Amino acid sequence: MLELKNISKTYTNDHQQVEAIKNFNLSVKEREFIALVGPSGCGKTTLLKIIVGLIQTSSGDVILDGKKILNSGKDRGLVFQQFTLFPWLTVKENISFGPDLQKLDNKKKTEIINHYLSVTGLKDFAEFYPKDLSGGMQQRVAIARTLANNPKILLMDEPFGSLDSQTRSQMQEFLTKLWETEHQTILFVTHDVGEAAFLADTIYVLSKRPMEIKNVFSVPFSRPRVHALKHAKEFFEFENKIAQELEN
Amino acid sequence: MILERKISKIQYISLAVFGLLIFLLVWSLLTYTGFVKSFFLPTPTKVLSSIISLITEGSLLSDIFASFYRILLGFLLSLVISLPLGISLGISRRFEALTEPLIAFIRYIPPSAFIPLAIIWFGIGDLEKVAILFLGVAPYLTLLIADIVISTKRELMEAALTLGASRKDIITKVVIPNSMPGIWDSFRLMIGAAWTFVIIAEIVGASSGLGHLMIESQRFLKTDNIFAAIVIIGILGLATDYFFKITYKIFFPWTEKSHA
Repeated sequence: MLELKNISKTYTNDHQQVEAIKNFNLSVKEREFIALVGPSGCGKTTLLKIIVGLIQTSSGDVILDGKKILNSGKDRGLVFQQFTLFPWLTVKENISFGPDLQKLDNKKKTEIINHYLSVTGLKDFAEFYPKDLSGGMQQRVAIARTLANNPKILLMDEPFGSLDSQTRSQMQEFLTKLWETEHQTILFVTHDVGEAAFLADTIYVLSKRPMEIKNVFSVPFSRPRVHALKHAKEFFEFENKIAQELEN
Repeated sequence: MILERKISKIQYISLAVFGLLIFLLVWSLLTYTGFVKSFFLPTPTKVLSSIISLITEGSLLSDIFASFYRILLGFLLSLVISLPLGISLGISRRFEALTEPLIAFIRYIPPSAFIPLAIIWFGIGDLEKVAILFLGVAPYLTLLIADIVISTKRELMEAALTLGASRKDIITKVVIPNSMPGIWDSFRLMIGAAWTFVIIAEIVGASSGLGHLMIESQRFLKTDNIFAAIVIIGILGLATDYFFKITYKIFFPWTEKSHA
């Protein structure tokens, strides 16, 4: 459904040119959960911003369902690493931001809001402002806000990167559960190998600048996945294999 | 206040009263003992009785009304001009290039420098006062608002874009609501400055207003009336400040500051 064809991105300033991404190709199938794992600063965020249309490519095309992407649009949702909830809106109003823009009728809107409030476990916090929520909850609202727009693909840019490790693993478990019920197509970017192995079906290991695909791994663990999986020997071995690939 | 532990409301109020009492005590010590002549610094009771007699026999209430009316008019006029101007400045580089140098130029001229000209143009009535207020407040307010608008976090706008917002949506649904608390704070700041400008303008030439009351009292060497006017201005300033503080909490319950 999503095709990246020969994507290149070069940043130019007065003194030099930096090649962030070079001839990058990727194909994402419907309902696939893909993780991109790469070292910090390798251009993963740039790639996601290209897909959502916030950054233009230097060359190459992003194709979604056969159509070339030129701008940002609600068919591609992005969950950011930073907290980006609108602080002046309540949890409910944040989730309603996309449906409001689409001018859906109230009945439909309420339906969508209630659905995502309940799948993200935020029912009791509907009237809270973001400042009164913990980091993990804020990211859950951000996910709900993105899903409420019913995007064809959900892009996630290290969404749990700024959370403490305990909240982080809770959020990973939350996301697998969510994926198992909602079956969204997800492209998840992270530098945490364990996170990728726990969440995804397919893992792409990326190189340093200019970013290229080094290797692809199919994740062998069955679903539903629970936290205990992380302590299994096979998980540990698999994680190591990817970590080694990442390092050399 | 990040560094200090929280204190209770009662503690806060009692400290505030205590601070005022110290001020009153020093004032009393200097005056009731005769250490400073009453002509230079009247006693607190003398100032209080001046306020009362100015209200009952004099023109204090109508002077307060005159000054307040000018501030309100001048401030509202500034607001009507500065809000769209400041927001446009913050959003558009082209508009910034077009207007910023001129606004900054006017801003650096003290508003008092316009008084002679304003008197020639508008006389010494309300119109001249409003003009001085506007020239003093509007350029500053415009640039303050522009600054607040510019500092809107990029990620918030990007998030809105990925949720399907248009450029217009970004302005009306992200930039403006996000800037409102800061803009409200800049109103609070500039209304203080507005008091300064109106008093100056009234001192230079007026037939009513608190500034006029002061300069008239000086001509007749009525120091106690000057102090009465100063105290009144202080109280009115406090009241306006309080008004903005309270309304901030009511309008923007979502900010961190609304809890302070």
